[in-house]
Amino acid sequence: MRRTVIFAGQAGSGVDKTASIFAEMLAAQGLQVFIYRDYSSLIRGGHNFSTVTFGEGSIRSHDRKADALVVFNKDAIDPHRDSLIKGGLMVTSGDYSEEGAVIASGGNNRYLANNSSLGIIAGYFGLDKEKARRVLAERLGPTMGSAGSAFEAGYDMTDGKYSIRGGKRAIVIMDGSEAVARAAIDMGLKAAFYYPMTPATGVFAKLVKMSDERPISVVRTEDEIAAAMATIGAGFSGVRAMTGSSGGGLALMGEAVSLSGMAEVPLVIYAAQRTGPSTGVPTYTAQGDIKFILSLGPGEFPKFVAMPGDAEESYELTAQAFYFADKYRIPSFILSDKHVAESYFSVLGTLRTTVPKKMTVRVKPVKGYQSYKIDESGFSPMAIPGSGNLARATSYEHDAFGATIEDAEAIKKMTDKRIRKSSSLASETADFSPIVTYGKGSKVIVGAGSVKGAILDALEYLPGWKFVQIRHIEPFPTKAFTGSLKSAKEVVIVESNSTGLLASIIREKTGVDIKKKILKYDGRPFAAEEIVISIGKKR
Amino acid sequence: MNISDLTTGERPTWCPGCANFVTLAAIKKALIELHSEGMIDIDKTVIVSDIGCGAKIYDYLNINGFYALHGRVIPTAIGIKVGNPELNVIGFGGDGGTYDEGMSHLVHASRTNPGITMMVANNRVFALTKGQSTSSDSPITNPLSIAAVSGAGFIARGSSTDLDHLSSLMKEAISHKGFSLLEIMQPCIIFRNDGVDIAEKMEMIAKPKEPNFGKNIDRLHTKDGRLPIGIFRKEERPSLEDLMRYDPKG
Ligand SMILES: Cc1ncc(C[n+]2csc(CCOP(=O)(O)OP(=O)(O)O)c2C)c(N)n1
Repeated sequence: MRRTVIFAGQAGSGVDKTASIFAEMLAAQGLQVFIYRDYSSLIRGGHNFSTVTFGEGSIRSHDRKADALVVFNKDAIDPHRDSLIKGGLMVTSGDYSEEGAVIASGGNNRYLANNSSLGIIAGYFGLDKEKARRVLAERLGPTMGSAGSAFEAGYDMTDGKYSIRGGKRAIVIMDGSEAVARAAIDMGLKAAFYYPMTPATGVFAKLVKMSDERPISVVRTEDEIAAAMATIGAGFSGVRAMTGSSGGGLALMGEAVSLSGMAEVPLVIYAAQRTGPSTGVPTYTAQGDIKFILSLGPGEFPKFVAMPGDAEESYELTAQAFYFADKYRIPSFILSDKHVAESYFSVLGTLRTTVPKKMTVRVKPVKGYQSYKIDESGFSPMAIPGSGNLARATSYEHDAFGATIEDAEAIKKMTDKRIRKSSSLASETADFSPIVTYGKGSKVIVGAGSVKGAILDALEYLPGWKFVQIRHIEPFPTKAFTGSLKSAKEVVIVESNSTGLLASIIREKTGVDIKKKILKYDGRPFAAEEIVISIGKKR
Repeated sequence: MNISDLTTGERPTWCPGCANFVTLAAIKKALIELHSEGMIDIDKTVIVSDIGCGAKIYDYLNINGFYALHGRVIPTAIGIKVGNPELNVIGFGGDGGTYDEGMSHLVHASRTNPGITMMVANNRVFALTKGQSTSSDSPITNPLSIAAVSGAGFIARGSSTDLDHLSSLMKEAISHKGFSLLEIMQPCIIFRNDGVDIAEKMEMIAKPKEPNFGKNIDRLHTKDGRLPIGIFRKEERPSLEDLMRYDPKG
């Protein structure tokens, strides 16, 4: 059974923190949780809310209907009144009242009122009081004081309508941003360069925090151009490095992406989509940049682009992005979005990757070393400065030693060498699950990235349907994809954009024309219910 | 190590008589001397080049090199230095790339003090795109002054009309810990052939007794039509990579 609580209030009043503490309490009971965070591009005031959906089974997306609504100010009631189910619980606090609502203690003291509200909700859903209290103590630390008693008093304020019990598995609550940062660290990241832009900033904020205890450099540069160029510079020096941004910031990196392609120096970019075009809607989600990222940077050169659909995949695909970037000496993208970056997911077990963790660079001298050796595969390890080899990299067309050339035959030869890397790359990426199929059925839902959670949760209500998730957009897994559609009676694609960009890429790469599209482009992520309803309508 | 070790087999495509030949000779001389004095290890030295006539130096210097993008030498060099602080990183750019396309990088590097050297061949034209005038062609523009007020720790100006002096300035700039900026005044014999004018306006400024080159910096800000040549400031403070966490040895 899925249950949902919405926490709502002004920015700065603790909506996000209270919701995330509640999520940790749920996880401590062995329940799976998903939190959708909705907030505006402002710092204080406005209206923020977090939708916490939880249950005993798999929970990978949020529901729109809520069993309980916790509001931190009067204005927060109206936007959510209709979301509360009949007979649902409303918790208010402060100096206003609402018919039928339970009023948290603490009055206008936000800190006490939030923790009293937490207690009320924990009691209402019948969470183990002691376990929940321990989570609170861990989160609030020694400053907990009166918040603890506010929580306990709140716990007994309702009769406890439910008695939810979870499983025994350890569950960790994590957003996509943290998973990307952790993967980077585990892959041996030494330097990161960024310029703040929502929703990419989360990764770099995490890295800054992590750099307190680890020997890594995180530099806030003067702009995205500098960030991308410095990342390439660090790669050339022989360490793992990354940058990242969103929309317009990524547009500024286009020239650097092309340089990485030409100079064959690794470049890892974390690209977090938001509602566009242009400045768009900074704190809302979209999948409107898929084609933009595929074509980012002038000229033809190989790239790796992966789209994670949750926290675990953010970890796994980030690790892949690092591995492929230096092995093939190419630009490599983790193409995420606001919904994956900033939603909290339940991670079961440990974060995992199957790629080798060591960076592929040449550190020992080789006789007659050629930076751009022309061979079958098209790629060979890059030598780093100080290795006794002449490390040469260039944005101009070049010969095998990296010297500038302009003659026709040499241009063609070097272009062929670069492009050959695409096929070498494609044959290796095929071993890293570029396509994953969930469920069984003769009818198929296709999607990539953040639509994953809602589709998986929708499948439970859609007998006969399976989900084919595309995890690598480039190189596009043509064979695996067409294979997974074999004998499909019906195919529907789900995307968070207005024109069906993924469908258009699929058509280009495979010739398969998916006509039935479920598209959403209002900045809000899909809920499973919407997909179930839309599929019903599309048939 | 000698000149031939630093020379590639590439034949320079600069115009006959181009001032860039002087700059190339001066950097080779500086690198050989620094190497033999034990000040640098050539295997751990990298040049980063812009795009332009002067930037072609990448093809003619037989050392580790990154032929980067127009205006983006400084951030590329910073990335290399942060990635491996043991490397000597020397940037080469024109006035178009450094003072126009990439000006903000110069201002910020002056402030954050990465341990890199930036050499700017200032011929007051975009030479490789056939002679359009750059911002530093205007007497209003004073990029070294901007670098100074932005906090650059080492600021110097040399001229391609005096190879030995230029080479000694290069050595000083490369040896400086922290960000160093060396402007090289050059005529462009095709589009801005004012070598005689440069030589006439040139005024060697002496090395004063005061620390950090004292009042020399004032000479940079005065607009008296003269062209002061020498070191304007030499001041050490913690560098960007010192303040960062990553240590290849640790
Ligand atoms: C982003 C970008 N813009 C424009 C150019 C074209 N371009 C090539 S060289 C050059 C001028 C270089 O002038 P400068 O930096 O002063 O060097 P010089 O040729 O005078 O040595 C320009 C504008 C380019 N390569 N890249």
